[in-house]
Amino acid sequence: MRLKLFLLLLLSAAMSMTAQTATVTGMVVNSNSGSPVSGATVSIREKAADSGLGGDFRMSGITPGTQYVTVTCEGYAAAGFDVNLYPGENSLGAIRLEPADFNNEFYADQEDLIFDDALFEDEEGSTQSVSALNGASDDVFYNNASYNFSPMYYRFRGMDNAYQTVYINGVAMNDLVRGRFNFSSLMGMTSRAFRNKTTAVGLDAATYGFGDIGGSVNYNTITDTYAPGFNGSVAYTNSNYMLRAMVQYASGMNKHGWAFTLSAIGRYAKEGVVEGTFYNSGGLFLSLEKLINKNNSLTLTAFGGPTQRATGGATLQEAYDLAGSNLYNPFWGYQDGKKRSSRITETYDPTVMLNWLFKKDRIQVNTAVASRWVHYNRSALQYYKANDPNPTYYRYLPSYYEDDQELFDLYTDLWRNDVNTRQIDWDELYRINALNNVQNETLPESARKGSSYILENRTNNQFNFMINSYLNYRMNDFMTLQGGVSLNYTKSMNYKTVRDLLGGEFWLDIDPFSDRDITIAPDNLQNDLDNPNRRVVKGDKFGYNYNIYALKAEAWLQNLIVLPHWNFNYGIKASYTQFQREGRMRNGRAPDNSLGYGDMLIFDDASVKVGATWKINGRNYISAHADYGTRAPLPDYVYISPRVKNTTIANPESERDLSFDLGYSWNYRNFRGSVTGYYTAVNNAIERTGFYDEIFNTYTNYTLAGVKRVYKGIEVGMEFKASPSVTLTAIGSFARAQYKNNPQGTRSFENGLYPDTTQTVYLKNYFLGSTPNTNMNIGIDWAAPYQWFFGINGTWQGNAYVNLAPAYHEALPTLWQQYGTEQALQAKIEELSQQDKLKDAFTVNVSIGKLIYINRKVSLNFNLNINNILNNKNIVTYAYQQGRIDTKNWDRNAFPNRYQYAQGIRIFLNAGVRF
Amino acid sequence: MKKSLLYIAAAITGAVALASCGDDFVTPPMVVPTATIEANTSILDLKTEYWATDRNYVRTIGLTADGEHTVIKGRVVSSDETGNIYKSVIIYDGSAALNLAINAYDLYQTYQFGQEVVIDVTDLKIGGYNGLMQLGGEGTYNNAPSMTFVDSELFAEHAQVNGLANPLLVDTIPAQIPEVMTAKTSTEGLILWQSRLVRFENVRWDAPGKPYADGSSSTNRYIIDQSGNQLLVRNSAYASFKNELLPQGYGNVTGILSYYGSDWQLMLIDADGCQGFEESDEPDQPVNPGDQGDGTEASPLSVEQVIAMNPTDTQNAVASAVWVKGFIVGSMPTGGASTTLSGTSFGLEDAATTNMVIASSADVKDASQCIGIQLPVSMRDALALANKPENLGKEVMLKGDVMKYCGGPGLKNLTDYRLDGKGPDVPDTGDAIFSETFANESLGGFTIENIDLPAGLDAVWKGSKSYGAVATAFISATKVDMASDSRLVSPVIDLGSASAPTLAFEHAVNFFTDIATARQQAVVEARVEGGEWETLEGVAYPNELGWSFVPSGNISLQKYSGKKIQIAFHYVSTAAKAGTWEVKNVIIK
Repeated sequence: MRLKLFLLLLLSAAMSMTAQTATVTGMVVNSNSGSPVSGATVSIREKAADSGLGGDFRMSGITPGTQYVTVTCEGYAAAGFDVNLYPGENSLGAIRLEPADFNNEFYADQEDLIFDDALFEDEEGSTQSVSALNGASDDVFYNNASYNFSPMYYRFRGMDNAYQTVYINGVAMNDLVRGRFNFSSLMGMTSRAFRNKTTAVGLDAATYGFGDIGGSVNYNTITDTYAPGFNGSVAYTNSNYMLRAMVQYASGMNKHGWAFTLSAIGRYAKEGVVEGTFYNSGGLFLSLEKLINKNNSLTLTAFGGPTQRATGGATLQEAYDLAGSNLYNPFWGYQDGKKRSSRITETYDPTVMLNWLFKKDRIQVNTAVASRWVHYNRSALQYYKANDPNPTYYRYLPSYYEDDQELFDLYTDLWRNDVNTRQIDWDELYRINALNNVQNETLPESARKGSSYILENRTNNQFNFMINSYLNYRMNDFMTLQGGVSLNYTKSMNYKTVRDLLGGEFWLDIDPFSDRDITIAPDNLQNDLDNPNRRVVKGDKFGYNYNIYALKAEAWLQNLIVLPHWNFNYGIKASYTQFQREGRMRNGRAPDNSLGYGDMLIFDDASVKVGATWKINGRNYISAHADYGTRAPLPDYVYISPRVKNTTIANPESERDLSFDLGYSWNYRNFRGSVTGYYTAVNNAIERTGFYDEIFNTYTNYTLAGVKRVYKGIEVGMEFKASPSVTLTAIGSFARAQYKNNPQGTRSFENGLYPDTTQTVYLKNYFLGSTPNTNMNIGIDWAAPYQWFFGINGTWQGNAYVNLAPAYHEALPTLWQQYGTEQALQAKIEELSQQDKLKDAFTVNVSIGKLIYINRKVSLNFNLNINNILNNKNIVTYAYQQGRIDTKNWDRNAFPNRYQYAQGIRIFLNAGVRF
Repeated sequence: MKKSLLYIAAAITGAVALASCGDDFVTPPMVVPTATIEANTSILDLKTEYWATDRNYVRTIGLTADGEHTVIKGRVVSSDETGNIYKSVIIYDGSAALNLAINAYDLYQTYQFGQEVVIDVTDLKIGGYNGLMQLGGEGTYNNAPSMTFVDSELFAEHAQVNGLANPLLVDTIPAQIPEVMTAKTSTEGLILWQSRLVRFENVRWDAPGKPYADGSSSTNRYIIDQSGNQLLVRNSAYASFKNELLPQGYGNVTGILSYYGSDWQLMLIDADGCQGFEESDEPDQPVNPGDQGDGTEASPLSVEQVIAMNPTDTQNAVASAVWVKGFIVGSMPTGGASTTLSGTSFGLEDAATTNMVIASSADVKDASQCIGIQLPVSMRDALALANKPENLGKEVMLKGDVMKYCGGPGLKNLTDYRLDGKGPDVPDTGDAIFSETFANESLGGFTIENIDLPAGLDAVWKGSKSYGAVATAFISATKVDMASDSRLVSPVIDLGSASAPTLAFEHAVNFFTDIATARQQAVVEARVEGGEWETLEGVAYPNELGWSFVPSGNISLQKYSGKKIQIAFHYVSTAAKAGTWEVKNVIIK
């Protein structure tokens, strides 16, 4: 290789003898795959250039002569070598970078496990997301945090996934309704088909888009970036799935300018680590490129795969304790002696994208059109005039009978020893429905009874159409200009269907919660007033049915400046957002504003972003970034009761985000790292939760508007090379993610019997739920002789809190009646409003890897990762306070918190081959 | 390298400072009640305006001189939590105190000690009850208007609480016994001092070492100052502290300066009203008659004693016809699959009509400290929480058989009870001159005067378990009717100043030849002490023979007004036919 390089240099030197200074061009590629590496930094003396999307770079104005070139890139070992530069053009050709951390490669193989539950819905209907940063970077902190902080659902800087932008080939893929990117739409191919990605950490600038205050990642699926050849792997794990098989073949570019990459994946578990769950998932991926000419190429990317899986969920500690396991799952039971789950999630998000790449001289333009069809179904049991089928319903738990020792003992015994008490008794549900059928034989048609229990599907489908074009223009050696325009049209379709009548004849489409109030407001009963008392059967839509039409247009422009001692960047983004709800049913609880189109909501937003790095010397850097902008509210939060009516919160306004960070980083031969402090204030945010409220006998939506949240903290990452093969790392984050004001809360009763109420919710200084505020990890990696790799690391996480329920933070107007002295009243208020802290978690992970080269072409790799080797089963990943409050006895524990736990020891064994 | 370590340290220090600002959780504000009406009249002015020297009178409060509603304000200085103060709240506004007589229990929960209350007293009644000025409702006493308790809902409509209770703002007024004794001789003094929360310093008890109240009746105790001046302290038998012992030595005694008849009576709020007395070195004496009874009415069994008997049989009694005393704490709901003591509903939820649950104190919430009571049909109206929710928390005495009941210790086959001083059929004897129920196989103070006692009978008149005093000369063993003549004579009764005394009772007649005969053979008589018997006219008899009790109607004793008299039930039988006469619930008003 050296010889080749030398020859090239000679050649290029010969061609440009006349120039006084030297210009250097080249391309950075992955030594394993040969695919271009974008975002690598090529430095000669004080000059530096970042490789572009195709791995290319250009530097001019370099003093000719012998120069030392360094190339660094996230996730790769730095390369450095001397070259002789001649005046004029010098091409360095392909510079190959070795992936730096073999463990990271191994971790990447199981990355999909982290994101499997990245988006899930809790019992009370609010969606949660994990926002571990996907993909490694050269930042020591993020490199390790993204894997090792996953046990407690660490969120990057405490922020929701909606504050990160995920791009595929420059097209922003976050959905317009919930603001989030659903990682499961990548079908678990993050380690293969979506392996080529570029990450911008925090407020860093990126060349593919404006990014967001929580960072951004761009997946590159342009065909010629895949290393030609075949690779395949089979993995076993004891997690959500048990088996995973992946194959990929990349053809490389043929002489006619065609290239393709094909990937397939399958994941399967008859029963996952959580009892009563299963996992069936398959996916296909195609990337097809046609090089039209030197300047133009077209790439078609198409992927999609159905996933069907049964999941567990957060539940009461009492239930875990009775069941004797923190992985207890209330969402399954026996039917005819076979396990059946009531909570099955089905997703299928086929996506098609066509990219046109134009490259000429200093200009690169990437233009894309894309379509995505999102299918999301989640099943749940529904019941009417029957006992709650959920085994953890509070009246089925011994604690409800704590004043009666006999019943307490009886229920305790049943919970421990009777699986049909502890789990759903499907046979009983069928039996009750069958009894209804028997009664029907003697009843007139009009009086026939439908199912008392059904399994329903809650569907959230979307159609997305996106157009995007962005440009990267090299103005000169110091300056590049990026800019882009994009359009996203989204239609979101939300409804329920009957999945299974469970042996009954039909389901009566009325609101079970309004039933008790039928004498007061009979119309309240009707979900569809135009089709009252409709009898629905399997496949029929019922309950609610509404669409949201959203459109977002965006333009951004950015300038990057690289000077000998300073780097600067600044950019601006402007966007237009509109959305509208269309009700497809006239709901009896809101007959006048449920059917048809609601008002069109329009928001104009803008953001500015600036950044600077002071390169004190070649080893020490100080950098600062700031971002200020507005962000249109999300349709998912603006409608206070979207399943019922078009009503929005009063005066919806854009969120205002201010964010800045300040960091110091150092980079010595054996010791590198960084310390960063950040501060992000999110103003005027909206949050919404929903829950069933026993007091009012209704499902209740609770929307918080005008919320101010502040995320601040420091992140430390250090890497010390004790020897060329032994690396020690230590990282930590010490943060506070808190509410910082007392927003207005709106309570909306879905049964429509009570008017919506708005009141102040006293949240100031309370912590945002679930994300651990303190995280620490230390690890040792040893690249042993003969291609063995060993790693061990330990993680401690703490200072995580339960997600709050607003009802506990309102001024309670009748509390004094039971706590009549100031002291007693204040004590009770403090008791009710305290925030529960989660248990701290400590985990140890061990990994072993082995790489075998059969010959120059064929290699095998084996890796074994044992996560949580100490088998700590006491790690809460997610916890929330139930939304309802006991207004009778003001017992804080009447409706206890719900918790979800991480599994204990997790083994991941992977064998791969490539040629 | 050294320099960079310095940078690291500086960066971490700065960042830690940024991230760790003290920020406490902001709790929701307290929502406190605020009265929407404002006081315009002091309690002193109100009392002065409506004061009358009569012992008993009722007036209706009108508008102020300005034509506005009369509104007073005061801070609660009392509490009925211990039960010593009963159905009353006392407020004080700095000028004077006023007793609010309200027909409700547990008033301390709504009107806590230290709670400010604003009351629109317009149209409410104010007046005297045996000398004590109070706000309340209108009732009658001796056919004359008299103060009584005001309906609690009516009162609630007029009263608003303002702010939260603050016991620290309650004024306790130091007083001397001679000072208050002098005060009661003048109207001004009575207005000023009645119902005040006062503290007598450096006084001793008349009976140290004895309980606040003896047995089951209210007890008068006295505090005595260094100079020997005494003040009556009235301790209720319903006070939760009644079995505590009066302390030794000198100390301070604090209470409400109430008034009855023509004398003060100090009412303690709780036993903490005694402060600064000597700590007794002697062990507490077991003077707790309620806790270790022998099962008689005077010394009933405690709930603990019944539990200790551990009855295991639902048919055979461990102890029969015993009195048990306790507090009504709940009942065993009957709607469910089974009715068990362990399933007791404490309070009024799912209150049952057929049973109730009692415990040794009103705040017990543990079924294992309770016993179940099977209620016979005849007592359900009066006792069952489903019918009388106000019974919750009340002390009750019950007579019955100790057996296993509903899976736990219990009392069945009830034959008698005492609740609020009343028994199964005992009429209101509140203002009676004389009364006798003849309950419980007792002839009370009556004596038998036999004119002709047939052979084979040791008495014609007998006490019975449930039917009062029973007279018959039928010998059931031999089924023979005997001739007899016997009076059941009352003790001497001083009719005193009662202007229109009346006699009333209930009776049943059976086995007489007919009603007309019964009217002649079952006769009510009266005489002035030592005088001749005279038949009383106007007695209502049953319309037919049978076991049904009928009221006698009010039989006028006006001709004996102001005299000391005796009454008699005069029974006569013949050998041809000996009827049966049952008499109970005799009352003279």
